[in-house]
Amino acid sequence: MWLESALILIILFGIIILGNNRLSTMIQLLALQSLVLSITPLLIHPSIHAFTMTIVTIVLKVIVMPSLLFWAIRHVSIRREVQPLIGYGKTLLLGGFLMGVAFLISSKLDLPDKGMSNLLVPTAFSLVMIGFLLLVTRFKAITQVIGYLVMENGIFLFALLLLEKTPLLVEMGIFLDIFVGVLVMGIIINHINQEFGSASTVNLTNLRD
Amino acid sequence: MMDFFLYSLTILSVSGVLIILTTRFRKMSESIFLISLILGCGLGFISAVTILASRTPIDYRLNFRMPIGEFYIGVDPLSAFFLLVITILFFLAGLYGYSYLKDHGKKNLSVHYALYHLALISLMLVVTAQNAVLFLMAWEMVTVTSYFLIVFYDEREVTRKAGYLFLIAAHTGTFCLWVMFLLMARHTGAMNFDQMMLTPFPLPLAGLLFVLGVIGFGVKTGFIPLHIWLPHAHPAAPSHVSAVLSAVMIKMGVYGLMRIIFIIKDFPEWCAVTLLLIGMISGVGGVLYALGQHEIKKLLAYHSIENIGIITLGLGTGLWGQIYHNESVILVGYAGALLHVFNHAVFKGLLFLSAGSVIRSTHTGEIDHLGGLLKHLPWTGCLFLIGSLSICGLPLFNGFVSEWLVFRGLFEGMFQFKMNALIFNSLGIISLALIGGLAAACFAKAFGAIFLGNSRSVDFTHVKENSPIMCVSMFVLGGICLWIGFFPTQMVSFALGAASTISSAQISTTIEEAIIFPLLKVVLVLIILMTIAVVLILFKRIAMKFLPIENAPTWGCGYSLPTRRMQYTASSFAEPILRIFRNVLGFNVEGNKPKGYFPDEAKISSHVLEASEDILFRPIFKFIEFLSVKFKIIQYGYTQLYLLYIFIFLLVLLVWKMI
Repeated sequence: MWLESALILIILFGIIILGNNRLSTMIQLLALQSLVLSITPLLIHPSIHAFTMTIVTIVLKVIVMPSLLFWAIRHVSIRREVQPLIGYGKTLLLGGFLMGVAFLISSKLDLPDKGMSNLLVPTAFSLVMIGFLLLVTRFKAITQVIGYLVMENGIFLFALLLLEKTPLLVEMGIFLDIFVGVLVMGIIINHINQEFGSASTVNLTNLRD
Repeated sequence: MMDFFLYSLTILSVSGVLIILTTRFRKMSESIFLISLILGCGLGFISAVTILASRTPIDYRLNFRMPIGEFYIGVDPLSAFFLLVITILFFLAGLYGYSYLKDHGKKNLSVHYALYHLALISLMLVVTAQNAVLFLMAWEMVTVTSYFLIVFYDEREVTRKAGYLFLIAAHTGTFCLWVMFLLMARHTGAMNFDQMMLTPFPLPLAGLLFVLGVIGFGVKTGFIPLHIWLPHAHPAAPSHVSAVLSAVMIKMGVYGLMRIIFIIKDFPEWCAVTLLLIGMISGVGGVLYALGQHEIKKLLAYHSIENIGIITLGLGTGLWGQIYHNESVILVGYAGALLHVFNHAVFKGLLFLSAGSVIRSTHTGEIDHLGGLLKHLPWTGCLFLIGSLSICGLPLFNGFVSEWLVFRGLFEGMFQFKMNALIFNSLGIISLALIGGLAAACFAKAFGAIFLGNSRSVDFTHVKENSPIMCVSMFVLGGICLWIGFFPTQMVSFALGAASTISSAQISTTIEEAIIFPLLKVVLVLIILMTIAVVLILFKRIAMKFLPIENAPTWGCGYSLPTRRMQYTASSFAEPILRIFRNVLGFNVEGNKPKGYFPDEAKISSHVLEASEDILFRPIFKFIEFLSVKFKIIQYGYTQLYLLYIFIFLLVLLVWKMI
């Protein structure tokens, strides 16, 4: 029961992120989503392993990364995503459609272990798709990072299916990867801003042949 | 003997690295090049000759395994025969090249020398590899190194284009080879040639593999119409490189086909017919195109295609014999093809080297600008003549011996097989005769225009003979031409040994004697005739001593004031023959003829249309370019768009999994 509520909350946060245009709110929402996400291991399978994961997730995803992102937007002084590729309303509609697709796919998918809840796999898929949608429709580099992190949250959920089978060391490795990824992206955002005077990835189209 | 071969590979690879390292010390790097060339080629030559003489294969496996292949090399008589060609030609051309490039400005020669060694090593590996993956790796290495050797004069745009064309063509061929070898490996479950041989191939599969092999190897070999890179690459390269390209590199395709026949053994009948037809088309087409060329190296390049045609005729004859299990035809056909591989390597090498000597002295390769060079370059001229006589297949020169074998194979096959054989073999005989005649005309034109008469446009009085080293390499090649022409026994028996490897046919002494004996008789009769002719000429010389002789300018033709431009040009010499074949060739003559009693300006120019390039390949390339441009619209440069592609792909995969 608690697990289901947590998963619904996670999806809801994801949708709100999709419909928001203020960067600071987006980051806060992401932090909230990550907070709920960090409790799910405990709900699925309470153990020392799960507890460690919860602690590390809270430290990295709720405290370190949001503050890194806040630091980045302070530095490049942007507040909101100005021109998304598709309008917010349409993005929300698309997001809803993709959630439907996610539920459809996960109902047909033949998984060895359904996990504790029927909602777990669809939520994971929905988050991946919402993340992708953010990546595809937004131009600001910072929104791209947020999209990437939402997607990563989805993958994290999916990986919870294998909570007992994965050694702790591997989990820690994955966390380190994400941390380094976000760090690098934060620095790159800064550099894009310095080079072009704005943090929009539209400026990066010169690289095609 | 395997040791010798491995030493040779080691010496060449180590010295290749040393040459690069000593780039700054030019003298040192040159001497390392020469010494390692002598040692490497010498050891390779010795191992090849021993194996050919003993007719027993040897092999060697290195103790490490690559992921899909294995370093497994072996030298059987077939490999040894090609090894012989490679070592002889690379040694002499390398020696020549060292002297040819001596005062060649600021180019970094060490890189060229190192690549030359690398090409030599990779060619040695191609003919000895017993594993499909190792073979393909060596094959690719040959392509890449030849590319770098071809683009030596990379400051010229023509050269860069020729190199590019070669690279594309060669890789298209390699693609077919990969498919072919993978199909073979799938069928047999093994990558090593000796294991592949143990599984019989069903006929349809053998036919498919044959087609892939003919395309894949044919591109490198230059079968018409896959030859488009050849006439561009040969003139672009420096002469010693053109010599090894034409003499050795393009023969690797022939080797590949022979190796495939060796592995698969049973082919459907149409394969032999295909080979014969390819041989006829390439042979006659090559020599006709050669007649229309006005640049000496381009002319020689087309003659390579012609000789590949003759080799393929021999190969087709042998294959036909293999289908009907007629040992004599098998041996004669394959031995003819193999011996022609050797002979062509020798005389074409000689021709390219002497053409290089001409170009180095006069700085031009346009036949219509040259003329009267025999007085200034006597050695080059004589050696070019020997090469020309050999390539025309005239008796007492080596070309005659191998062409005689091919003729004999065709005749024997004609009477022993079914009706089809009668048709195609007689067609083969006719085209072989036609090739010989046209080649003679073509070299009469080339030799006449370059070495006889007077120089046509430039004054060549300052031109001197090239350095002795260059002459020595040419002399050795000319000597081999004459040696095989006069004493064919040794090389024919080597070729027979290699031929029996391809087909696993046993050579009994009776068959071998039956093949060699008539040849020796023919040569003997010809030697007697030749002696009589020489005696008569000497007699005439002596008799003429007592008569008054008046000297007149060359091509005087009774004019009181002839100029050097009043003589036959190469184009005008070839024009009557080309006119006969103009419908086949797309031969165009433009210009206005002189008219009336007081004719004013008149000019004439002719050129030959490259049918397969202009009609077949250019439209295809245009079409591919058109398609590529259409596809460019998916490339916008937005990261978002690329992510969308990934996303869509992911969705499609998931949905596909669902269904």
